[in-house]
Amino acid sequence: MQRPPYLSLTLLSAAILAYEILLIRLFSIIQWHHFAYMIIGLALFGFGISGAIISSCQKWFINRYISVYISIILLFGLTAFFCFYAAQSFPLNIEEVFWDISQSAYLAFIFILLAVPFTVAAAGICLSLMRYKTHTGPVYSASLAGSGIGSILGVLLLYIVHPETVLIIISIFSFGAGLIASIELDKILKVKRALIVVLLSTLLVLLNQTLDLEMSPYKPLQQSLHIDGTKIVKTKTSALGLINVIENVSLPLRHAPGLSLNTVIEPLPQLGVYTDGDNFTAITRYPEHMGNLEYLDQTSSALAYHLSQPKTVLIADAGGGAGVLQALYHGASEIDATETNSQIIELVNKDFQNFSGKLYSRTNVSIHNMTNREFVTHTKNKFDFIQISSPDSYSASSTGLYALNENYSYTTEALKLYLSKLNPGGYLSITSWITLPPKETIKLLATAIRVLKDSSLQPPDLRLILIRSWQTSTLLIKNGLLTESDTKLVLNFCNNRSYDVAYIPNIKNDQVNQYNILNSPIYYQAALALLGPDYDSYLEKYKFNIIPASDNRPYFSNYFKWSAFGEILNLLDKGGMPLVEMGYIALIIILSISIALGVVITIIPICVLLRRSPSMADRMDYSRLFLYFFCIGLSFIMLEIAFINRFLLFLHHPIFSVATIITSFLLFAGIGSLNSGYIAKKIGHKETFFLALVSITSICLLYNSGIDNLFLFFTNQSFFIRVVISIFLLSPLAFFLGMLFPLALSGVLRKASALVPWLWAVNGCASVIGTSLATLLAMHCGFQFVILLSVSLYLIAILTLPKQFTSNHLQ
Amino acid sequence: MHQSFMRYIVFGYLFLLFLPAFAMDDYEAARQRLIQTIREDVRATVSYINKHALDQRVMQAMSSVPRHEFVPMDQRPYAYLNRPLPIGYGQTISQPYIVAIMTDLLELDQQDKVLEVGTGSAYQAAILAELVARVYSIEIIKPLAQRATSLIDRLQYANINIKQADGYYGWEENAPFDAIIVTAAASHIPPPLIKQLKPGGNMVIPVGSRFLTQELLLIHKKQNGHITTRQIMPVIFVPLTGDH
Repeated sequence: MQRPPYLSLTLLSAAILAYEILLIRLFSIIQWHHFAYMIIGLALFGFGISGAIISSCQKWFINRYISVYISIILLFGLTAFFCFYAAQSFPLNIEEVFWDISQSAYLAFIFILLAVPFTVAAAGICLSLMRYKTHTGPVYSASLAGSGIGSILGVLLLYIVHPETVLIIISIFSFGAGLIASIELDKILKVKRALIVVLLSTLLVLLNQTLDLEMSPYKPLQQSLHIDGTKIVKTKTSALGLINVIENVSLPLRHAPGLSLNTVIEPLPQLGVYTDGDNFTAITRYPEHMGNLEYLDQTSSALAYHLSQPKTVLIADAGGGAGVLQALYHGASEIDATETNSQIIELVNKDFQNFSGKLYSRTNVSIHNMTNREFVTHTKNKFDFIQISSPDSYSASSTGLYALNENYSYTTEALKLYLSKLNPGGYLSITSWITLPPKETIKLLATAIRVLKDSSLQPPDLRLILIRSWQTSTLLIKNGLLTESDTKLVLNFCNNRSYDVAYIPNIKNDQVNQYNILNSPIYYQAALALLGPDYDSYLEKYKFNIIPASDNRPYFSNYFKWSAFGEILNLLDKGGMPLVEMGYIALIIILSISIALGVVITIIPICVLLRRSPSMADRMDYSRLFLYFFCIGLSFIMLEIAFINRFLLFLHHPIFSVATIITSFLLFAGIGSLNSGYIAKKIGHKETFFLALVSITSICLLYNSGIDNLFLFFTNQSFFIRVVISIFLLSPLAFFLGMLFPLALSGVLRKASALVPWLWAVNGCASVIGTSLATLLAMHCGFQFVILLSVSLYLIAILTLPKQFTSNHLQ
Repeated sequence: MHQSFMRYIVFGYLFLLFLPAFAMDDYEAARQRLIQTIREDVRATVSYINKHALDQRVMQAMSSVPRHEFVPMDQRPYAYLNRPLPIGYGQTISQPYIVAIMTDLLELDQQDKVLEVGTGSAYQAAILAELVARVYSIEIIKPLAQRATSLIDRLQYANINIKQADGYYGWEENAPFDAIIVTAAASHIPPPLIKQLKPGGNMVIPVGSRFLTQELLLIHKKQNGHITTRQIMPVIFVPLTGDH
């Protein structure tokens, strides 16, 4: 038999993963970030569908393996391109789903279209596993290693070229993989095939010139562009997002959330910076005189500057620099600022340096290109004032779209860290959006109070201040006790700006809810209840989830509670739609659809197989095989997700960390898969299963209990050293995880090869279900629980695998 | 272009599907059904908006303005559904229930002068025009301003003035206004608008996205010039149960 086409398999798998990353990016641009995860999560069902299709006519496919395999790779390149453009042509508006039934139909069409390339590509891998029965480990290894390479490749490409160009690169890359497959399998390069590839590539390049990304017209960038005189003056792209800078000379932008209603001062002209057409920050024209920045004193976030005269200031997530300008206006002498996206720093300091006054390079300003959690973890400095901005953008905050977003900046551990970096008498300030019904601000309050109660900073009620405008709230925590003079200053600050004091020590009921009137003074009531003995019962009774987020459950923006869901459903047609926490509901919908599709996809092929070879049912224990492949598919992806999140706290950078972890996880799993046969030969098949299980369990349990201490030990090392340590820590786990699929599959191939497509489908479906299940479980029980559950599932898998597949005679 | 093409195909199909229904039912009857729905919704949200019913004049205006005239042709079959509808340029015509509450919150008199920031479809301006002496409406998007101007001319709303401009600065020449309604999104309430509001006057701003109104912000300028706001949810939902 021929040697398996390892290279083309690796390249095909790389293309699939790069395409998956690209699709998330593309849909984040044209639609919304979490919608992108939803639709791509479902599209990955293509892996399951491919198994079902092959299962129904496997002989036909196997007999024509070479031509089918090469065609599949070429087809992937074509469908990857065309299916995306066809999908974006549907005028989908996710907010209209509740109003308009046709939106659900658009969603279904988009899902089907996007599932096509994944179905095609997965069929190529499945067929190769079936065709090369004696090379299961190496074939599966090539696929895993390719996926690992694709992960880092996808991210790198997104930093180099625009996402539309990445799409064409992936397509042409796939055509190249098709040619390589042709050489690998036919031993010669057929001119006809080479011509087809050249023709297809040329066609796609030409077509790509005429096609554009069509961003939803409801995205803020699109709406801004409808205004006369507004133009895009700069575009930058990276895996973190597509940045568009807009300018309007005749109607300048003025972004000043929370501006006092009493002020008559107009904000300075600004440039608007949109990331993915949505998340907004403004670059402000550097003032001729500091007095021009007076409007920044008319926002709730200015409060801390009135309570003390902070000299050393940390501005977290500085964006376009309004917080830095505010600090300069108030006379801070040493300002540190963090910004995760280096391209935003470039815009301020380089591209628009004349406009911004090269803000981040001013003598008393230091900008740090890292997350605020990372900076605070590493810095040895202490500050008089630390300013943190809202966890979400307003739209995301009000509709619950970021519920699935892991955020380590607002956990109890993060707050504890910020407080430890304050000088005595210093303030930590968190400004967030006011939403109705209140969610974000009360959750921040609950987080702050829990941190204070659990720390030596006692008593909490003498350290907290909460004020609010109609639009924003600012929560201050003092590293020291608030004095009577402090509270007078707060009252004075608020009275001058028509802000309400929601909490200061010794405030009375008649002093709250004065200017921005709510039906009841809910922020004041919340502060009193949370500071008192009713803390836990208040959290429990509140209709939204305001339990503080932790590093184990880093979902600050998840406010969903099942107990209130029924009531909200009844209010849908009475203006209650904004109450629905869209992110969480989307997750439940994905999980439900995944399970339903999983049942359909795995049941149909097995019925076909049973009808064709009824005797097989007597020989094989189908349900036990199902359980094995389902459990290892589920737990592999759940462990991968859990460890991505655990290591994110160590590596910090949101994109490179994830890419590094995925790549090393898949590469080492590939190495494990490659060596599975060899180890089985050496120590025995059954013993290899046992070795893998014991190793996975021990490593997971060890990491679950002690990895935080290890991270702490190495936390001050450079990013490169931390990457090396992460790879070193992940490699043994991934190595053993990669062994279990090929070990069992090689047994199935020998005993009942007809079952392979079905088991491929089972494993694929389990991976898709596992993706949303891991997030759901992490939200409710934490990532440590996800890891423990995954280990248990591995145990169940190995215990249930029929003995004939673990016995030594397979060697 | 591609989106529009797909949209036309789908809406064309739906239009054909609903055509017989619309042949039997005229817009007037549909509008009256919509008014009834709004009345019921208001009764259901009584504790939040502190009213058992909206001002009869507001309901009268709602029942006389032909909403179908203010929506694009492909949206006409849905004109009398109690929902926001797209009008192009990323804008919407608001949900009638929200329009009714916002108008009611302004507490208008017949001789009032009202400023609207964000004309959009001009439906809100038409409702206001039924209730007050003069409506000044500003739209920043040129094609929408042009479309609205020709529409109100055709429908003969003589007491509406529309101009294409940046609503941030209000309409200084015609200030002060008895009431102001801001339907265009802004990061803050423009100081010039506060200045142009008469003492004793109200300003209303819907907060949220184009299709999901989270809350209504009612700004009141007291006789002494002091400003207060009230945040109103268009739905009864108390976030806390129990005795806190």
